Amino acid sequence: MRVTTRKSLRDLARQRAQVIAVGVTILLGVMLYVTTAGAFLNLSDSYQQTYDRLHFADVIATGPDPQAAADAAIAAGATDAITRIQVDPPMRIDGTALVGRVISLPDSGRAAVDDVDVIEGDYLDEGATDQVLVEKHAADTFGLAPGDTVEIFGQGTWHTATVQGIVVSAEYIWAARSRQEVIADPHSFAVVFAPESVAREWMGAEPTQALALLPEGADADASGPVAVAMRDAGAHDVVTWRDQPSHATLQEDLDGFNEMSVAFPLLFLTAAGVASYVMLARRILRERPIIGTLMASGARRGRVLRHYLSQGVIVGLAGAIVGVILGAAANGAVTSAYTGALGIPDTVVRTRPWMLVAGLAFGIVVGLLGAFGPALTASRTAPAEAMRASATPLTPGPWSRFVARLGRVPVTTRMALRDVGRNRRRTLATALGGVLALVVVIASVGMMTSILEALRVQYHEVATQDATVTVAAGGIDADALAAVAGVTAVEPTVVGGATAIAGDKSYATSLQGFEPGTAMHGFLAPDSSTVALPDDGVLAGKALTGILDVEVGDTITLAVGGTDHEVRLAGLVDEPLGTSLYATTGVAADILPSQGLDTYLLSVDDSADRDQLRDQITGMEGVVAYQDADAVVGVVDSYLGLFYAFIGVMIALGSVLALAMIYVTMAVSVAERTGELATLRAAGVSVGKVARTIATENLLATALGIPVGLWLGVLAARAFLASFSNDLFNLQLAMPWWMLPACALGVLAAAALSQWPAVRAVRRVDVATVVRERAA
Amino acid sequence: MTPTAPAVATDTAVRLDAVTKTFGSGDAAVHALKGIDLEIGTGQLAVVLGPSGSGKTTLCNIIGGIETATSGDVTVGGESIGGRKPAELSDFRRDHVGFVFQFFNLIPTLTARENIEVIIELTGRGDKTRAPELLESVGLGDRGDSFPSQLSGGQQQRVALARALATDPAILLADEPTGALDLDTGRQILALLQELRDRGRTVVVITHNTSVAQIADRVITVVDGRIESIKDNASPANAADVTW
Repeated sequence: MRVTTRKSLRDLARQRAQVIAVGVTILLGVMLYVTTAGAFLNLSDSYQQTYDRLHFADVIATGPDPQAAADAAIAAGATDAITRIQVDPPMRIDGTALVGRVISLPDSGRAAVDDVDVIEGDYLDEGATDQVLVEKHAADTFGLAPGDTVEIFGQGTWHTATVQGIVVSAEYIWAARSRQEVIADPHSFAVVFAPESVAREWMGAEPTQALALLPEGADADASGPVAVAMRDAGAHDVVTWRDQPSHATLQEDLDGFNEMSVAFPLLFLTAAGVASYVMLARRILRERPIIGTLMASGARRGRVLRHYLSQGVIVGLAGAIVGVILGAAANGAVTSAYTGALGIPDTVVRTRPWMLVAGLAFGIVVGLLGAFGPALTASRTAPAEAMRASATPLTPGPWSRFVARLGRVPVTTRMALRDVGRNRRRTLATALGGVLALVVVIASVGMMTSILEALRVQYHEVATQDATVTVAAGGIDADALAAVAGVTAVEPTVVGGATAIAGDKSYATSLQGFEPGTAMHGFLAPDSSTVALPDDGVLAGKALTGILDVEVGDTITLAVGGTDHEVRLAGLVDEPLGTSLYATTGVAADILPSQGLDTYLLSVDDSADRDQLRDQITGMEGVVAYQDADAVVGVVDSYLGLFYAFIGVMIALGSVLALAMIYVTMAVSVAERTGELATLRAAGVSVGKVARTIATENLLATALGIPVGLWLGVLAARAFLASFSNDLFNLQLAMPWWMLPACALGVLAAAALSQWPAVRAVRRVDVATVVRERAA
Repeated sequence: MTPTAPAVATDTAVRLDAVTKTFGSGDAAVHALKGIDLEIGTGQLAVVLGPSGSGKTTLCNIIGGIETATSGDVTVGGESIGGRKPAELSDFRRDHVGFVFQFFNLIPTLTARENIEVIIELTGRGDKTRAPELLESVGLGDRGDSFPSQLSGGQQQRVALARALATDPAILLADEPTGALDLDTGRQILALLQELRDRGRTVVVITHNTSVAQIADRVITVVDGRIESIKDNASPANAADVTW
């Protein structure tokens, strides 16, 4: 091994605590990158594999003549197109009434588009007249197994169907009835698949949908022309794979994952670069006479530059190697945890060599960048200057002169105050440690508190009902529901799907009607005031203006069941979840076709047993569905479960980053002033007092970074939230008033904790040796 | 007034003509050297003597090519080094000069042997296998694997001397080589320098210690940036006899 390499390794070993701190920060950055970016790609591949295997439809069109739409799709370039029945009838499963969904499958053979994957039991027997396949989420919710039965209402009677198998469907990896109902009470929805002839007989329905499949490897935008062709063929609701409810919901989650897979590693690697810079700058300062000697002996600048750059590379590479190994291992675990939690049938875990190389390259680049400044300084060292015995004392600047005038402040405090300005680079690096730590922590905490606040607003200020009950029209009425023990208020509502259209833009959403002056829904305006339901026209989620390029006062078209209705956009609402349309029950009822069902919103007493209430109400004659708002919140929690875990890990890692970064700067701070500290101790100043002086200075430097850290942290949190926001989620930064001070105190506490090794270093200073060396 | 250098050297190792060195400018200008004329012959042991701040270290640095003269001409080993670029000066030092400093400046993380090898590796001049031989020549043949912290001050300075010889320089410049050492150890170092002179190497010792001047063939006294005197010593004392 070359002597210079040995020198590098031994130099680094002498600074091992700092090297470990820098290496761990690089390790975390690289590990996060390899884990999250790898998991993101694996998850994308997992979805894709499931989609490919089950022939996930590229375009789904609903309309009066699905066969015409299917033919148009083929003519427009689709490789396959089928028609099927999809209806949402009342069902009874395990004693629970709900509005489910029946989807037809071919009587013989498998579906060429949107097939299902049997994970338990068997596929439908050919010619069977009472068999259905139940989608996995419903089976899990109701504990269904092959051989169990479900009841499906159609043609005025209940049909008993036997569960032949439990299946996974690419359309329902995230079980959502529609794009606007991605978060719902799992007991309020179930998907069953029945042979087409059976569905036709039970429901009295003809095919309602056409599903088209594009050629394998087709461009992502290729679905556009097919969708247009299907619309031109009479389909009134055409959804491409991008907007398919399950896919769109999961893609949102995935996109957030992707954002974080870049942003958080970047923060860690930046911190590592700065820490590496501080560490090497300190050593090069200490080695100035040696560098001078080497250069006096004829070593050229480039050689010296390369020598010190190599030290950065060694640390970067070492951290990156461990980071890549851990990241590659964690990548599979994270992918499996995610696919397992969401029930994605295919789990693709692939280690991508280019990503490992990229991880290593990041480590090397961070090491190089961190070392470049100090190495350049080293290579520019003038040998004669480097070996002069004593440097000229620095001329005091305005800050030092100002501090000198603070006669009443203890000298040790004045010393600390002055030292903050003495080595600006060190002070900046310490402050930067605090800044980066705050950015990680505030961005993580801010996202969590904002999501919790969004849920609180959604379910306590916007959708304030406790339950939604759907009954057969003409059955029980509001009075009957109000008479149930625990129910405190009942209001009728009207709800249904509608496609909002303006010009050539459209948006599939839902229209819900409320009583004027309703107590079941709060209409929050974008300016935080409240708005009332208009007598005519509709209120819309504010995202609609951007989607359709319309303004309040414009007239938009609502397409419902093949009929167009012109309505005025009377106002906008700002709601955390969804972009829906609202009107009075009168206006909504005029637009939405009667489906033979009445819907009521319920408020219940806080002390009511919600499960008991569900059982009691769903047991009433004529009740076909019951949705509990608390259960919806539970679904949200499950949706965000992995996200919360990720945030928790980020907060923990942010703390590690703060500790590592601040430790390096603290350690350097002590090392640079060994002589001063030894002199103080030689004069009889206690270790504690010396340590307090150092602590005051370091905490002061950290505190300097806090305002910037708070500001950048808030900006970062807003940016992350913005990346999650769309028509389904409208997330605004919300944190309790004490959160920012708490984060700042947390970082200061981390800084204080990081000084423990530095204080130990003060204790270990050999006073006699240091003073003798200085005297010589 | 600068005395004229006596013509003792038939072969000149170092020649300075009207060399000046000024640090800073304007009111803050410090004139470290104010017109130095000097010759040191090949194979001579010259001592540059002077009090602190007299400009002797600056003189040493200019001879060694780690500082450039503000004006005047510097010729070392027959080559003029004025106006050279930093990289060319690096090559010049590598090929011609070895340095020894008061505070040794050994790399603490390398052993004695490695401290020599690293210079050979970094400069690309010399032979690493000669490191043990060089240590042997300074009486440290058995301490090659010792780290600087395991060596006494005198031993460290001997390693520094061996390191200075690693590139086989024609001229050895030693700046206060005994400054950080006790008398006995200082004598040992001076003896080694005399040995080197005896083997034909040109040695220039910078010191404020007048006793050290006793071992010199030529003593150049510098005061306030000027040469106050140049004296040739017909019978230099043995290092062992020097005391301070």
